[in-house]
Amino acid sequence: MIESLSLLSVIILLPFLGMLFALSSKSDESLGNRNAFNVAVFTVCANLVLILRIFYNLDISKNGLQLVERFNWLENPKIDIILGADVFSVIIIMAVHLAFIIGLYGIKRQSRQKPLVVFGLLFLSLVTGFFLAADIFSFYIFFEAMLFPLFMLIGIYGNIRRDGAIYRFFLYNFLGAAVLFLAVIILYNLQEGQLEISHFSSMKMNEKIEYFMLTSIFISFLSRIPIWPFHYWISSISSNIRNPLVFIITNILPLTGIYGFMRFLPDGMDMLSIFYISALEIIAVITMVFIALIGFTNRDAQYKFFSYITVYYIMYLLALLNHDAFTEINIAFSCFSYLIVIAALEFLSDYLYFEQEEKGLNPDGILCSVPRISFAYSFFILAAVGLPVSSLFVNNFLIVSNLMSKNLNIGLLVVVSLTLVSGALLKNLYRLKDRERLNPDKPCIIDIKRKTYGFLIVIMLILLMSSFKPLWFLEM
Amino acid sequence: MIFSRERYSRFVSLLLLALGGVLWFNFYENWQFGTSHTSIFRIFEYEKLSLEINLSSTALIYGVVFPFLCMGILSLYNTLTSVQEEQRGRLSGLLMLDLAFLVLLACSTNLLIILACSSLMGVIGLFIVNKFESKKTYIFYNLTSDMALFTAFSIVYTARQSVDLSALNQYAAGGSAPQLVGVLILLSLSLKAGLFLFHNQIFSYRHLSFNRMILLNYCVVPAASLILLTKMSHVFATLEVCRWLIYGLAGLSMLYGFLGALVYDNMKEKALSLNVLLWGFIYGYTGTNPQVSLEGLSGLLVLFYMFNWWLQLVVRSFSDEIYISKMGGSWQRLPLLQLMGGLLSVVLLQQLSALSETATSGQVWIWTLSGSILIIVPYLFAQIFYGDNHCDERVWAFLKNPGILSWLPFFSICLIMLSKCEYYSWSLGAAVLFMVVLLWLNPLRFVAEIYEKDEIQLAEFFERAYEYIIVAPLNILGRILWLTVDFLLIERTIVNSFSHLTEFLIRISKKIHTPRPLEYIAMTIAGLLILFFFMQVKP
Repeated sequence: MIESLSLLSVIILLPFLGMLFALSSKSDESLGNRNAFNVAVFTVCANLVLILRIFYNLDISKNGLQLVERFNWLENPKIDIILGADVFSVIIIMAVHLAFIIGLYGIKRQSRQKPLVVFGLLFLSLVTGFFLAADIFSFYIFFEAMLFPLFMLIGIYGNIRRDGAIYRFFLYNFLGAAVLFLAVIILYNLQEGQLEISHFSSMKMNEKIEYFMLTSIFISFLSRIPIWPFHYWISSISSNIRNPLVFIITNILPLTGIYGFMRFLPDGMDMLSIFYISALEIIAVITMVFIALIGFTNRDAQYKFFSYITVYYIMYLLALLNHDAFTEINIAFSCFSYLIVIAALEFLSDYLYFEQEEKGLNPDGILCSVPRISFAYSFFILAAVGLPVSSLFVNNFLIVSNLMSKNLNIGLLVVVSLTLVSGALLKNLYRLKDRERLNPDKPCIIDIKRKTYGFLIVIMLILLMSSFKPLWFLEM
Repeated sequence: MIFSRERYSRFVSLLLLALGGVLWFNFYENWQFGTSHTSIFRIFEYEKLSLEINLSSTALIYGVVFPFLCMGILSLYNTLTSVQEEQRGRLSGLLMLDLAFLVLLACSTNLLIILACSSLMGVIGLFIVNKFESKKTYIFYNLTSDMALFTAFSIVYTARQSVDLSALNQYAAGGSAPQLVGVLILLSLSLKAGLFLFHNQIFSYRHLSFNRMILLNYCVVPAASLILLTKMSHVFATLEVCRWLIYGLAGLSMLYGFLGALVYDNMKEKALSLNVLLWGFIYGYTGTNPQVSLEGLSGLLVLFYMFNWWLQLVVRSFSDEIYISKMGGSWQRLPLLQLMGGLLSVVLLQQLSALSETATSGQVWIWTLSGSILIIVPYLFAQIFYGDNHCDERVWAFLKNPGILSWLPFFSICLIMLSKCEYYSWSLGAAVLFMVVLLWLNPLRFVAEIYEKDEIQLAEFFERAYEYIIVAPLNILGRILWLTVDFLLIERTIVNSFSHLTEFLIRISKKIHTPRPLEYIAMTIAGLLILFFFMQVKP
């Protein structure tokens, strides 16, 4: 218990400490950048080791939170901070860390790294806390606090249209935050300080309060997920900011909404829940097909990524609504590969974007002269479309099967959307590989360094291993 | 693939051919001695799902794999001896990897492993296709095909909670949506094989070298489709709708293949049409008849492969002249090539006669294929070797018979097959005589006029049709949705409304903070009224 107590808190605090170190790095630009980058890499790697240790302490056959830590924060009003972990949360935290480290490699070429590293580490600390939060109070704090670093990053790194992006980001997330805040206050009064999330689904409430609670929960978590009409803020940030770390952070946020649904969805289905869930299913399926169609036709690579991400998150959301432990663990395994794949793709796509901007090139055929990037990009695209090179293959099969068992039509629409977004990614890949449209008079872009390529190979191996066994590292 | 440098390329290719030869010999020996192995490797086991690699060998599996292994070895040999091939080592490596997955696919009874193997064969094919135009078509057809298979298997798993092949057969017999599953599997297989309506993928291989084109047709995705067909013919036999769909697709494919072999000027397109003809035949003959296995058709598969090879040798003899309309009149200069073609035709007819004699059903398919061959072969011979000389002067000057590295293995294989088949009857003699008569009369010589018509030679009817029917509406719908929902409704209406509302509230609050006494008093009164109202309403 003592060991676990330290571990869960430490993986939240370590990135925070890293952030403080990065903040105090030298003001000289190149030295400061290097220091901040090294601090971030060291912090994330150290945290990854600790996460592995947590995995060894977990009983993976058990459902429910384990390694629970409780801190008495205030006596009057009584507020306890409770942390706990299960396989789902720990595997997601691990994936977030791996995606973050890929994002760090992506920002290595940028001139102003320090603010990115500082706010990035702060986000990492908060998002880790969010996935480990076992009480409603800390859940709410982490849920809202993680918006701050992203807000700052959009402000610092956004392009000419950043005001619009910030406005949409604020508008949608403020709406979610406000209703969740009210829900937390009501829950606090109902439970008299006992705010464990696990108690929520079995709580007895009168009809009006239940109606309000469910509405609040649906609005607040949906505001994070790129579901109609809330999807616009994510697409706005994704297409206005060319920065891999900001992109990765933006696209981790919807996962927090999905996780919120998983934790707060009521166990028993009364009429009200059935109504909400049915309405949500309809909106989700329409959004999914709609975004997949736009992604297929849009020529912008960033929008294609966004549509891919949206379809996956909505698929996870639809599967979660079945409330089945087996599906939840499959979502975690699928999400593990998914987060790594989108981070790697964004890293590579960003590298290509800056190279082509620098040399004034057209994206058509740009991959023909760079074998390392070409191989890595092709591999990650093939993994993204669900070929058997990552855990997406088996786990997506199980998730889709689960959806079909509930409603065959929804399952079929999910497959259609997956096909469209996969087609969109492949279309983009072959546009980049189209040798015939390559202009021979223009200079070629420079391939990634061997060290970076080696790092990507390690990531590819992690993905490959996950296709055989999602928790392969536990058997090492 | 590791030795990708050109100087090692031929050596690596030779090494892989030797390795392939040893493995082929070992395989053949085991088959003849009836050796059977059972090797099951369990990858993982979830709560309701087990994933295992099954490498158990039975006589049936030996029979299914053998023709593909033979064609694989021939392709390795072709790759080694092909002058045009630049990346021999890489291509041979990819082919070996592909054959490994093909064996795994044939042995497997686990739906997920079947799906994985067929997808991975598709990925290997993607690396073999080295021209962008072909790659683009290839990847979209394969993606759709794999997604269809994925959906069908998901439905089966949902209903049966098992990923064993037997669950699929059970589902076809008594599932809730068996016809949907059957149609999805048939769609997937037709896309892979390039049957009529889905033949664009196969025809896009014309941009590749002859060697790669043949290899892709006989060892990669269509090969996976044929193996899947043998595994799933029970499903098609059970479902009425699939039976009729297969008959329709197979019949139309044979018709399209037959016409294509006659009207296309490009030799590669002729070869591809012949392949479509063959796939149509195999689907029609075996697709709804689980009793017929690929084993009985192995000779035919290898011979069609050889026919493609022979066409490749024709093109090479004519200094890489790809158009048949620019050949002719070369019978005195190319006797060896003629002899090779003649012998191959005789063996092909012998195999078809033997098949017709032994088959208990599906005679109509065999007769259709035999009839098509009887018409196509003399027509091709007449165009290539007889009639007027249409060759370019340079091509005519350099006409040459195939070298020993080509004719020796070619004749050896033909003679081995001729002697192995041991079927000699009056019908075979009559068929050969009929071909000679047709060659002499050449009744289809008027068809050659179509070679001049660009609207037929360059037409891409189906590509355009798909563009208009599927891609264009998707593009328009996507664009409309983006403009109306994303841009007009959300950006211009919802977001802008909130923005204006905020501005309005700010304007009001500015009024409250105004220094003018009258407005100040008015606002205070309004505030008091609101307070009073709430006090009245709320107890």
